[in-house]
Amino acid sequence: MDELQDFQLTTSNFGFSGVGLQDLGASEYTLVTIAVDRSGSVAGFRDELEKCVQEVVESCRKSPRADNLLIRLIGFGQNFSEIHGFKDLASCFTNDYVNFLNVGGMTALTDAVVNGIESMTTYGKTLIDNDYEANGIFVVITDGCENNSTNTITQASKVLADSVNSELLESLVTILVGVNINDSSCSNALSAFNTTIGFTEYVELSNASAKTLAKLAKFVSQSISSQSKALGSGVSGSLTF
Amino acid sequence: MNTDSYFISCKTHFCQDYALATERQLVISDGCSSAKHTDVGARLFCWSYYQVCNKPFKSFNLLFEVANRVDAQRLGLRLPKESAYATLIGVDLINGVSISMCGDGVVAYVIGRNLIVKSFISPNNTPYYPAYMVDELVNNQWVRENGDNRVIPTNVINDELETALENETLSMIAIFSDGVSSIDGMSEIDVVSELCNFKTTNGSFVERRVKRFLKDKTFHDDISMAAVIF
Repeated sequence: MDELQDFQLTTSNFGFSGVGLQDLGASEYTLVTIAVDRSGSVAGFRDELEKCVQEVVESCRKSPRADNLLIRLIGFGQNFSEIHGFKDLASCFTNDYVNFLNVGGMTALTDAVVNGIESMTTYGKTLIDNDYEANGIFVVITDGCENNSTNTITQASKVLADSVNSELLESLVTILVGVNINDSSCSNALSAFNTTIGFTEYVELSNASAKTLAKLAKFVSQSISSQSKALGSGVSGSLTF
Repeated sequence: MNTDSYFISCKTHFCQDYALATERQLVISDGCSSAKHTDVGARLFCWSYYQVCNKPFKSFNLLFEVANRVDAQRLGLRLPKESAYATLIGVDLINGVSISMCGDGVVAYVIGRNLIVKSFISPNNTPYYPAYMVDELVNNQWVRENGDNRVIPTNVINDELETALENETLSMIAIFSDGVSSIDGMSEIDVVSELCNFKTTNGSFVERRVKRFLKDKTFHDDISMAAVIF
């Protein structure tokens, strides 16, 4: 397995890790970040959420673009944490995605969004400065509203706008997925969160059954594949849930 | 040691360049743009060189053997003889370093801290294609018109490279088709210097450099490049 290197973010004490350039053989990469809610409220469907991530990784492994994907997984609950940094699929094993969600606490959703986007932009710049082509896709899966972040929603919105305006990544697709959203106040809050930050796509799922999360896994993996195929065209991959 | 190759079409026609890099050789071929099916010929030359270059041939004899093989394959595919009108630059890395050239193109290498660029231009803009070696009529006509300088003499370069390799001062060799002289607003030497300015040297390092360099450039001929980093 390739060693991951630590990278610092200029705007935050939290950084990220990723494969060093000496281990990146291809000419272009799609950076994939999946941020998964691990607050206490997901305890009832934690296994299904983990299965969803496993299926996304497995599907990506079968993609013709598998050699051009670098995946990072982060979790957010009481606070935000990196489960693993940007690494290639050959270094992602199915067993790594069993019991990885240490569930509990509140929902530091905004912090996860800020770190996710800043990390992709910074890592993408490192790649692009060294002649690699790079685009990105950021998927956030949550069952609830922001209630424990250091960053404000306005700051998160600016981070995303700055990333897009900097044009460091060729394109960046951002998807917010609300799962098990069965009350209107949560639905409205997430919808407002989506609008304020400016995600490319917002998907709301009223339950978190195995069937629904399997469909979500398919959607996420197809979105990753689509974005990766779009690399070089200057546009984003199209999405359909 | 790492090798890599890349070729790209100038988009005004079907790409007639081809490039190949393996652990034991680099080879590029540039098909004649005015002849049909030379994209196939360029591929046949590269893969035939790949098959032949581990044999104890040197320069002319090696190129002659490659041309013979290409001719046989061309006949097997029932392609016209013009389909084999393609240049060839090969770098044999099996026993030291040995470059063989027929046609035109550019060779660049780094010894110590110096990038040395050698550009070979065909007389009267009519390259001697290695396929002419197996066509007596065409061969004789070309020699009559251009003199007997069919195979580009690479002995001096090869001696220089061998010495540098032994002294461990040789760090890079790159070969290019003449498309590097077709970029708007840039001299060939500047283009080659930029293309040899690798940011990283692992994996597809040639592909990355060529793609990035050409991103905002207009070029009027196919470009092929292969390189080895020692």
